[in-house]
Amino acid sequence: MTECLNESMRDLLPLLAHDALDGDEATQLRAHVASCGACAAELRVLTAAATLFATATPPVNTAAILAKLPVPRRALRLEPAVHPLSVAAHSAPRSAPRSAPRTAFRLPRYALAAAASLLLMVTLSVTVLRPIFFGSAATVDTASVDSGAVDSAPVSPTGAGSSAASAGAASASVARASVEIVGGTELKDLGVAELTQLLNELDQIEANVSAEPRSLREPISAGGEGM
Amino acid sequence: MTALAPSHPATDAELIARWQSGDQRAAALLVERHATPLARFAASLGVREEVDELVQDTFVRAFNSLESFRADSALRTWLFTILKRLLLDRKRAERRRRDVLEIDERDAATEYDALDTMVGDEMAQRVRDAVNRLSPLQREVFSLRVNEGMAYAEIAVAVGSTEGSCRVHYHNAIRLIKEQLNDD
Repeated sequence: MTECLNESMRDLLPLLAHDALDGDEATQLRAHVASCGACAAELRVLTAAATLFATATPPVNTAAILAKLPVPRRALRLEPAVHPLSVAAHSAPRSAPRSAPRTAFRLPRYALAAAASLLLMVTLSVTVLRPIFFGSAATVDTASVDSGAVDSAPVSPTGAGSSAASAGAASASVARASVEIVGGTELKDLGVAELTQLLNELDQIEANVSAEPRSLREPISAGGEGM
Repeated sequence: MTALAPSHPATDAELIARWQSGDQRAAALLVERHATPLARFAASLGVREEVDELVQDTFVRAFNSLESFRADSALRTWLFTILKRLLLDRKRAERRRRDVLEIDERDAATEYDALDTMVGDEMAQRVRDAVNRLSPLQREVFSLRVNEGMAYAEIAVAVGSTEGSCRVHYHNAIRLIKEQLNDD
C-alpha cells in the first residue's frame, strides 16, 4: 500500500487517534481518511497503539507523589506548612494566594552572629582602652602616695573616698580602686600620731568638700598640697 | 455554599506561579494533570516495575528545580525530559548491577516487555510486537506523538533531538510497524 502524499492530513492522524482535534479539523480529517486507504490503515495502527499504551499504563498514586514534594519557600516563610494532601481534602477553594504579605522581620543567623561578635569586640575594646584614657586606680593611688608627706597608705583610702563623694561618680570609682589597692592596711594598725594626722587631713578635706579635684589623676594631691 | 468554577482551567504557568507563592493546592493540580501521561510515557518506553516511583522522582526533581524552569518549553515536555533522564540513569545503574551479578540473558532480553502483560485483541497484540521491535528513539518519538499528540518540536526537546530527526523517526516507526503487521 502506497503512503498518502497529503502530509498535512497525515500529520494530524496522531491527533485524531489521540482525540485532540477540534470539531472542524476532526470532521475534515475523517472525510479524508474515508477516502484514503493508506491513512485509514495508519489511523487503525495509531488507534490500536494508543489503546495499547493507555491500557498498559499502571495507575499512579498521586497522593504519594504529593507527600514527597518540597514545600515552596514562600510557604515556609509565611505560614505553617499546609500540605497539598490536607488541602486537597477541602473542596472549597481558598481565596487567592496572598501576594507578598510580610511577617515579622527576622534576621538570618549569620547576621545575629556578626552582631554578637561586634558587641563582644566593642566591650573588650572599652575594657582595654578605658584605663588608658581615664587613668587606672593604681595610678591614682600611686600619685596620692607620692604626694603625701605622712604615711599615705592609710590616708589614701579615706581621703580619696571623701573627694570622690564630693566630686561625683568618676571620683567614686577612683576611690573604690584606692581602697582595693591599700586594702591590706587597717585603721587599728595606725599609731596615735598617724591617726591624728589622718583626722586633720579629713577635716581639711571636709572644709573643701565642694572643691573639684583638678584632675582625676590627683584627687588627693590637691588636698595634700593645701595642707 | 457554592464556589464559582473558573471559566477555564489554570495553565501550567499559572499553577507554577501559585505554587511558588505558597499555594500548595497548585502542586496537586499539576500532579493530577501530568502524572498519568508521564506514567504512560514510562510504560511505553518499556518500564515494567516501579513506574510509580519513577514518576514520583520526576515530580520531586522538577519541583525542586522549578525556579529554574524558564518555560521555554511546555511543562509537560520538561517533565518528559526529566523522566527520560532519570530512566537513563536507572538503566545505567541497572546495567552496572547486572554486570556485577551476571544475570542470565533471559532477563536482559525482556527489557521492553512492559506491553507483554497486555492481552488485547489480535490487532493490539500485533501492534505490541511491532512496537517492541522499534529502536528506543523510534519508540520514544512514536509514543509521544501517538499518546500525547505532541508536535515534533516538543518531542525534539523531550528526547534531545531535532525536529526533523523526530519527524523521520516517527515515519520510520510507522513504516516498520506497518511492515511488521503486513508480514504477520
